[in-house]
Amino acid sequence: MSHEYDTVAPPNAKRMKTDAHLEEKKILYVVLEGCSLETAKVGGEYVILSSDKHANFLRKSKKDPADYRPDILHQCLLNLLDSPLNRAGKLRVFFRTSKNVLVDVSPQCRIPRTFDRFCGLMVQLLHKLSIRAAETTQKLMSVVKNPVSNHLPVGSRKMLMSFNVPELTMANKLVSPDTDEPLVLVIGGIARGKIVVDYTDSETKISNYPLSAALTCAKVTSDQRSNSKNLNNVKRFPISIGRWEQHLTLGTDSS
Amino acid sequence: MGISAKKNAQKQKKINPFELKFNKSKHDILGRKKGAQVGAPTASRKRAHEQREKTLGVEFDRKNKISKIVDKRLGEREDKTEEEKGAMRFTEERVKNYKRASKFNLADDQDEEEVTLTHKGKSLSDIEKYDKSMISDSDDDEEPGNLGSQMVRIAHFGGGEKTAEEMVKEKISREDMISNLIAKTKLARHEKQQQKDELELMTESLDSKYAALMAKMKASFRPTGRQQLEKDDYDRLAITLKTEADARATPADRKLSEEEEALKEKERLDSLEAARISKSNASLNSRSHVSADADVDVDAGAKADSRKLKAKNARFEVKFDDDGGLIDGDVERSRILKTSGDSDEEEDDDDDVDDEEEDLDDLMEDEEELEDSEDEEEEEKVKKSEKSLETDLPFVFEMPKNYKKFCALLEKHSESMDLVLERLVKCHHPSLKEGNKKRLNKMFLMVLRWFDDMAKEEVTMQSVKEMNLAQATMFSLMKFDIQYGVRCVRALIRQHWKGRQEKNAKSPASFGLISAIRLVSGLFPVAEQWHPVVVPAFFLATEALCSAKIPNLGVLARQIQLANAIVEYVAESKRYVPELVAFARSALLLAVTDKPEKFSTNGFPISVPHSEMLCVKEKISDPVALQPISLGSIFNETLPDSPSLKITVLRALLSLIQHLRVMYTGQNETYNIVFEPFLKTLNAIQTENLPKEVQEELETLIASMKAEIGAKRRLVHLSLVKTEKSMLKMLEPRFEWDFDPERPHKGPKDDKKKLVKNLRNEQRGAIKELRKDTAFLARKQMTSVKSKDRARIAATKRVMGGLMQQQGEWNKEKRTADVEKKKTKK
Repeated sequence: MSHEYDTVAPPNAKRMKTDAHLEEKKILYVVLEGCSLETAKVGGEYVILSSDKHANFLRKSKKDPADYRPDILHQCLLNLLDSPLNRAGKLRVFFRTSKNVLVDVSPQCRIPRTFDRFCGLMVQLLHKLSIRAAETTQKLMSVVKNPVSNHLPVGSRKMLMSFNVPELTMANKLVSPDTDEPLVLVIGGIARGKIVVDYTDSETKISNYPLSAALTCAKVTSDQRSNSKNLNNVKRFPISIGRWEQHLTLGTDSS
Repeated sequence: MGISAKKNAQKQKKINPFELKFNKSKHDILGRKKGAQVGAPTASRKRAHEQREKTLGVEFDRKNKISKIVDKRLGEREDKTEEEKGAMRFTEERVKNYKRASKFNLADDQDEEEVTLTHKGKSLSDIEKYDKSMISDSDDDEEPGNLGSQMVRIAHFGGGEKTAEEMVKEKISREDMISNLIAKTKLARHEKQQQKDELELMTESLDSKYAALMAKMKASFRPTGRQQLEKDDYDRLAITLKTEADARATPADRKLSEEEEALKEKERLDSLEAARISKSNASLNSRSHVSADADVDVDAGAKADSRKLKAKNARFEVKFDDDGGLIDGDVERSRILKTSGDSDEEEDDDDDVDDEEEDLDDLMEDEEELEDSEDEEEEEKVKKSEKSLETDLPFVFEMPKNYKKFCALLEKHSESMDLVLERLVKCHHPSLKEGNKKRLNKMFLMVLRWFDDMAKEEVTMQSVKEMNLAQATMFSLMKFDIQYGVRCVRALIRQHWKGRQEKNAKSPASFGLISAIRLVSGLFPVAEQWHPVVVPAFFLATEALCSAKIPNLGVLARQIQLANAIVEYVAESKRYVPELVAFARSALLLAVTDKPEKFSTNGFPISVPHSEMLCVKEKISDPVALQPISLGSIFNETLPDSPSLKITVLRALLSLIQHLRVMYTGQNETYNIVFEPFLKTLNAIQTENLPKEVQEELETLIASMKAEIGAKRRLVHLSLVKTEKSMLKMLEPRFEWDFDPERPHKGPKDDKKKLVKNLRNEQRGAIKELRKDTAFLARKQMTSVKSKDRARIAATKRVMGGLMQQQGEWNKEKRTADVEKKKTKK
């Protein structure tokens, strides 16, 4: 598809390989792991199961309502895709559900602002396996094949955000301005517990306090001195690597 | 249902768990009904085999067996007693018989509808009713083959009951009887013929009577059928065109030359004058009876004359006002050539046009001196005659000797000056008399002076009208001697120029000046490159326009009038007049409080109250303000600066600018440079207090100017293409409101896809079934073949066994026999 980008090209766009292409290596990949996104037929219609709306249904089918928190994913996606980093074309997002559905989110996707609409769109995604743009045929979300490491750049540093790590890493320490390698951050989109994945190199935290998934995403993408000036100047690419941690409290979604 | 379910459960329980197949669900969705989770392939295979055995197997067994015995005996297969069997046989027989008999039983058939034969929708029986009458209608007796029914009866079916008459004539022989009959028929025929003739006669007489009656009655009936319409104009015209198409046009009078025409006109006027004088004399002296015809003729002539003149004048005016420039110019030029061709004494006498230095007044004086010497007797005579005829207008005039007399003459006939001037010109056509040309020249000078005097006086509607008249007269006089006209007008302009040079160089344009300039533009072709009159006049005008001081609105209005006059000069050539543009630009600045630029000419006031003389500060709803201001009011009194006057002047200014805009549209290169300051100033005009009409005018002017400037803007600076990276374009996801997760790819395409898929599945199923059928048949055949083989092998074995046994026994016997033989031998 030869789509002309009048402003910024998204990182996954097809383009001619020129010298300028080297710059594109400095891209932040964010993988949201363990998101709860599950459809069910409740009362004749298909919905995304959520803890407060379908508590009875979940109890009837012997599930724990606390595990069904699609709002976390919604907030994370909002934070990620609205961030300046994304608008500058330096971010790629994947998320993987607890049912092992891996979704590639296009940087150009505008996530619905309301939760209900988001749920409607997700139902559509899980059944059609892709979401296209309203005017064009461009794919904004698509279910892709596992494992996620197939979609991540070769030789990239892969980090898991966790609270149970002794060392605290500041963002500017994490990414050296000299290296061009892309960074992959794995963030858990869950309400409680710990993410275990096999493709990460290291674990790290960006705060001494437990952070919500959405806040982590926000910190990772849109913190401090980074932003417009530095984002356009690719040489310096300071990322504040947010440390990921979740509250154990139920129902109160921290953002 | 419950029972069957239980049965199924029991059945399923029996199945060996190792024979079950379990389906693994990949995408489990809570709340959705699942399909069969467990299948029993062996059981279903067995079921299918049994089914085939019942259907296909039976058919296979019957293959190649062509006949079979059908047992049709009644009640043999059921358990019936002999009696019952007998009863069944009996009823069967009865039924069979009944059916056979009833087949041909027409009468008893109650159920069937009666069949009626029809012809053309009518039953035949109905038609038959009228048959007889139809036959009787046609006169069968005429035809030779047809005998009367009576006759037929007698001749063919003789006998039967006899009438009394016949009884009497019993003895008459057969031949007689026949001859008698023939005679009778002939008689009957004759009578019939006679009757027919009579009927015809009577019909004829009735017809004739009716015709006679109708002839009498005809008038009282309404006409019927197509009537011939009366011919109207169109028809008549069409007929004449048709009939006179070949007729030749009769030649009209040939076109008269100028001299001849002038002569004719003069003669006509003379005759009319004579008639008038004689009439007045008659009315004065004798009061005799005047014939009505004569009177009418004269009046009619006069009226026609005046009408003609009016029409001519009107045309004249139009020519001048609208686009006289080019047309007149052409005419003038041709005339100049013509006159120059003539060798005239006066021309030789005159100084060279370029060298002449006299003023109009000098010129006038010269003429006066010349005239004074002439005799005055004639004058007296004329006066006398005129006195007597004061009441109506004479047709013939003597040329006035000097300006005073000219004025007196015009004053006397102030009602119909145009006629007087027209007739003066006509009576003194150069071709009529030697010296007329000179007289006409004098008249030109007088008219010019008259024009100038009027311009100097107070401006009224009357004077403007008279000036128009004077201009028209001058135009008609010019064609007799153009050189002289040029000289005179140049003198007039020089006078104006000197007047400005001497004392009031900075005074605003007087009405005299403007009218002189307009006169020049009316009399001479303004479009030419160089013209002895037009160019000086043009310079005079531009000088007056840019040098004058403008202390108040009245003066501004006058200057705008002057500017309009100048616009007329350049309307044709579209020459760029810097003074004009500068004046309009500066004048427009008067209407703006915050001036975007300085005044470009000197005459405009700089101090505040005067420099904003066109700014409308308060709102007025005065309808007078929207009407154009009258000429008189501009030039006569010094007007107070009232808001209504402001608006009027502003409108005049706007229309001037509009003229300029339209005029200079063709100047592609300089247009924007000239008009961009205008646009700036126009945009700065405050429109709140202006009346709606003026606002609209202003807006249209701004809009048109802006569009023009936009279209003419040609200089586009080269610049680099902006390659700034700003932001990633976000796209809204496509949200389907009627999304059905069970049919996620719904759509018009999807329906077809579904059908295609169904078809494919069904095809596959059918192929699979057929394959299984074949396999089943093959299996079956194989089993039959195998069983046959087995039977044959067994039979062979059996036979072979028997034979072997026999052989064995036989061998044994043989051996024993041999042994015994040997024994016996031994």
